[in-house]
Amino acid sequence: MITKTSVSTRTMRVLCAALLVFGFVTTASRPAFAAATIIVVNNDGPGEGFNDPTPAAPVGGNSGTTKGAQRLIAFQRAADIWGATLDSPVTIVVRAAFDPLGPNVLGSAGPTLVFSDFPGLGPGFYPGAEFPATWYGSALADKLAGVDLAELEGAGPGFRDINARFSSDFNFYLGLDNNHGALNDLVTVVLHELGHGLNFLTFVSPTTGQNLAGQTDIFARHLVDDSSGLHWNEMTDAERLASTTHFSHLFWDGANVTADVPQVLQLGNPEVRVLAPAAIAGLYQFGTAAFGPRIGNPNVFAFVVAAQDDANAAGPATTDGCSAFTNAAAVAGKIALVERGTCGFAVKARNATNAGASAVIIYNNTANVNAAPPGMADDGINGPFVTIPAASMTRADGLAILGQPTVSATVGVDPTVRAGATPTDRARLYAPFPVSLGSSVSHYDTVAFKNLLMEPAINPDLTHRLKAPDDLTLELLRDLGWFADADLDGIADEADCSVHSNFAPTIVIDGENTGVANILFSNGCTTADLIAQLHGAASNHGQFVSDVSHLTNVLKDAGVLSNNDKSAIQTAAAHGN
Amino acid sequence: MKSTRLLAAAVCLALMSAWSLTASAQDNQRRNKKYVATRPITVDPQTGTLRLPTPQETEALVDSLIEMTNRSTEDLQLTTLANGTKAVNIDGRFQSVMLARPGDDGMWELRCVTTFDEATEFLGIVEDKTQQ
Repeated sequence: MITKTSVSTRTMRVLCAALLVFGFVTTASRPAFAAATIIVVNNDGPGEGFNDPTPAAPVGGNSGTTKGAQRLIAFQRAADIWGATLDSPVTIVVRAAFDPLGPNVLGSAGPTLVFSDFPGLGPGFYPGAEFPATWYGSALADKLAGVDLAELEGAGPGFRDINARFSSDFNFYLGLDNNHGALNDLVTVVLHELGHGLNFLTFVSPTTGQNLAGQTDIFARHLVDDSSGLHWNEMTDAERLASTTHFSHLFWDGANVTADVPQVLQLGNPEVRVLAPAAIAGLYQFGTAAFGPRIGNPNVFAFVVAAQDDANAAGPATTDGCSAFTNAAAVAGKIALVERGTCGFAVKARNATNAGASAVIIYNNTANVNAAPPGMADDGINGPFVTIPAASMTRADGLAILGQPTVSATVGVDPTVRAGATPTDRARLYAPFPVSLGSSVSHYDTVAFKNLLMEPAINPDLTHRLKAPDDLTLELLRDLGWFADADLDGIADEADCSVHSNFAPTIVIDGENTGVANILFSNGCTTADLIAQLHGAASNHGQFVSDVSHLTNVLKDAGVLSNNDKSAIQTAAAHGN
Repeated sequence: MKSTRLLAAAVCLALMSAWSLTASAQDNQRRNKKYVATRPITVDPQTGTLRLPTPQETEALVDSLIEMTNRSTEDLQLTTLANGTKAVNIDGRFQSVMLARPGDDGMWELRCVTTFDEATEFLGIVEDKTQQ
């Protein structure tokens, strides 16, 4: 029950909140609900890409009747999913095209401009850059500045924020329902690439460790290497370069991601650990399989035995595991070690299963001598027969194990650590260790489970959802500065006096238009919001009129309202019910 | 929004300073090298079977990868606006590139990369030292 005392207390709290932070602007028309508008600009010429006239049957909710139309509808669906997830007052422009990139290049995307040291609209509205001397991608910078910075920079209105190209040679699934079967889902791939365009990336050179133009970026500020405890912006170029390939040591320290890790990533961090001999003991980098039980089902502690099979038409080497193992008795109950190549991963794992192995590790062959451990796809034929956990390994690590007379290891999970996180629930970033230069830190770790949209590989079980409990993409963007702002007033919802403000140009009370300009204060409330809050809190009409009188007197004394304004509001309040 | 227009007007009056950035000529070096494919990543349009890409296909693929993984800062212009905002147009650079290769089991494996070295490693393309 609301008492007179509590109403008065509330009234004064509202007034103080409004006036202690006394920046304000006149309101303008705004959308009724939160969103970012993302426009896809078709950059294709006649008869190609988005304009490909090849007839196509509707598929998966995509009603386009040509291949080009279906591409555009699917692309726009991905843009709309992002648009419904983020809030920005500035339209995000994506220039997109489908080009003949060849069948092996699916597409690319990235920001077109980066900005730093941009101010907000202030005081209170749109904060501007959180850190000085820090790069932000165009779309994020616009959101924080509250204006189209590209236009200010001289690029002209509506300059693209994101550039995207996709392959017209690749056979994407163009449905909207994610029911892609064996094909690769265009909506998911576009969601991923637009994620990079929206700033899910660092601008640090992965081959030199240098910052872009001598300045760090907002993504790098959240990257921490747990071996040194340093953020990337605190490191030298050499330290950053080393951290780029510091497998399992790079994590994200943003509060939003960290808060939601327990909702998304499951307990049971998979690991491949050599227990003995001491010379090679420790954690090993590994890749996971899309077939068979997940690592940890069950945990396997056993000796490692190199599998032997006949050199035959199925596989020319006696180490490739492409046919039935000839040393099955030695392998039974052990961890089988098999060389990659010739036949599929699932074939090797099936043969290991048939030999009675308790787990299988497949190490890279000479054709992949410098490669990181691969993710191992299911062929749909042999995969269903694999009943043991499987992991992949670098060639160097596989040879190190082969070089020892006896090796014991575990292929299992640490049940106290979440898959893809640190023991303290920080999400790991992907920092593999190939011998060759270059690796990506602009993705989550591949061992994350649930599988995440922003892992470097596109896993077939991804949904089109971007936030907890399904994913952690939105949370990372929130950490970068994509704050929730449901009414687009430039004030984060968590600090907003009214999350869904009334932005009517003039104050209307119970249908009576006062003609008085509706002011937005820097705490996120408009005058109309304050009056509505008083109305909701008042125990009777008399109390409401009294509270409105107090409010308007304070605003008049502060110079926000004229005498006439004050009278008009008080009169309307008195007329209302 | 009125405040936006005011800010725009103020900034448009500003004198802009430019600073040229520098970087390596790594991309040009790559363009001058020959590359060869080591794994069958191409589906033959006639037979539908996997095969190694031809030298011409490999060259086209490498050129495409060089362009799409360009992270050079060469010739980029840093512009400073009167309100202190700094800007660099990186259009076409610093892209993330999604690649696909047929796995050993015939399924397409997708991988998002940011560098030329990652891309060539994933696709099994190596420098052809016999042609140097």
